[in-house]
Amino acid sequence: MNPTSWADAAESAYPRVYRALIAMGASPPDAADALQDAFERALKLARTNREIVQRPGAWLFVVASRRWRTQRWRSRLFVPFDHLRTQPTVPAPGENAALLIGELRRLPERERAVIVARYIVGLSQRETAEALGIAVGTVAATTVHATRKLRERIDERDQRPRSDASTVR
Amino acid sequence: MNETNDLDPTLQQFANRAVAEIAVPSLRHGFAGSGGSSRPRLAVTLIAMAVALFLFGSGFAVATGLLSEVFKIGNLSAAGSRAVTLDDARIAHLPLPASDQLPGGWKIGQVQLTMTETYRSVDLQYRRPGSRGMGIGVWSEGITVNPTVERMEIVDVSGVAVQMGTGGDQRTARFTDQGATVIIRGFASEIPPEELRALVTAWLAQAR
Repeated sequence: MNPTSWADAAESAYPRVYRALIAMGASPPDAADALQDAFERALKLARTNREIVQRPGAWLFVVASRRWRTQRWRSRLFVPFDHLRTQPTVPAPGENAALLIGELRRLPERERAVIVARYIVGLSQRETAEALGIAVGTVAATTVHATRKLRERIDERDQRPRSDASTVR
Repeated sequence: MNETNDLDPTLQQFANRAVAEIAVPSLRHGFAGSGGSSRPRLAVTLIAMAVALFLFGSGFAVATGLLSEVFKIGNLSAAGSRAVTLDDARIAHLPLPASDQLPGGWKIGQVQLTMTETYRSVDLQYRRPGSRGMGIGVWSEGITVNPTVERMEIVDVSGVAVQMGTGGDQRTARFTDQGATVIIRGFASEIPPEELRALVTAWLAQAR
């Protein structure tokens, strides 16, 4: 796969990885910036490193996640001014998305990353393990444990009166 | 190695539905070699340096919490604020009143919801005939908000320590409820201290 075809494949993964970053807790501008940086880095590496062209979605998810964490650290340092920057006009997430993001945020970071990688990015156990640098067994156990927690919490939230109750059932 | 599908199909469906609600901005430049993020590194570095200099030079502001006020009165809408109903605002998981009315004839006119990666907030704007309005802000953990006041005293209302303050033509009550910071803000000429205390009492009784 040459850099151009890699870029095509990566662009097709863009919506899925962008949404995964939002689900991880990134703000829309941070997610877009992290992803942009990841793409640029990927294009440079794609010319020499054949390994990354195999799974663009997984690679972008990992690199953009790291990039976003760096941005998050910086934005915490400059919180009062970070919001003064120009914001892209992206509609706020809908109610189901807000519920999912809120509950993902309550999970420990590793569980959150595994759930997002599995359910949103669509990675297999093995791909998730390689992307996150953990054992396949850990991914399997974390998936089961975090899935159960997430289901319980979302079902519990869903019992509460809401204007347009989402249905997990 | 074959893998069993260990994903919960119901949760998978919900996740698919939820992420579909996340709008995806179009690619800014494309990625085929055009490069360049929306915040070029040089500009980011310069801005960071300017901010750092300002922060170092603003020790007093930091110490007195003025920066929080700057942040608060800075354009919160830029952080993704949107008008919602009271019930819709409950997705922020902050303590909010059960009804849209508070004692004294106050009725909710507008509700603004803000959700960012670091905090969540709900701004309730109340109206009553003959009044210029009254606002109640609720902020989650992750952000410190202090109203600018000239005089402040701490009083006990229903067992909760409430900072009652006045500044300019405003009267404020700041307290913590279920981990959230709540600030009631109104015009001093319209809301005497007794009524402000009554509003705090009503809030504590209603909010859930």
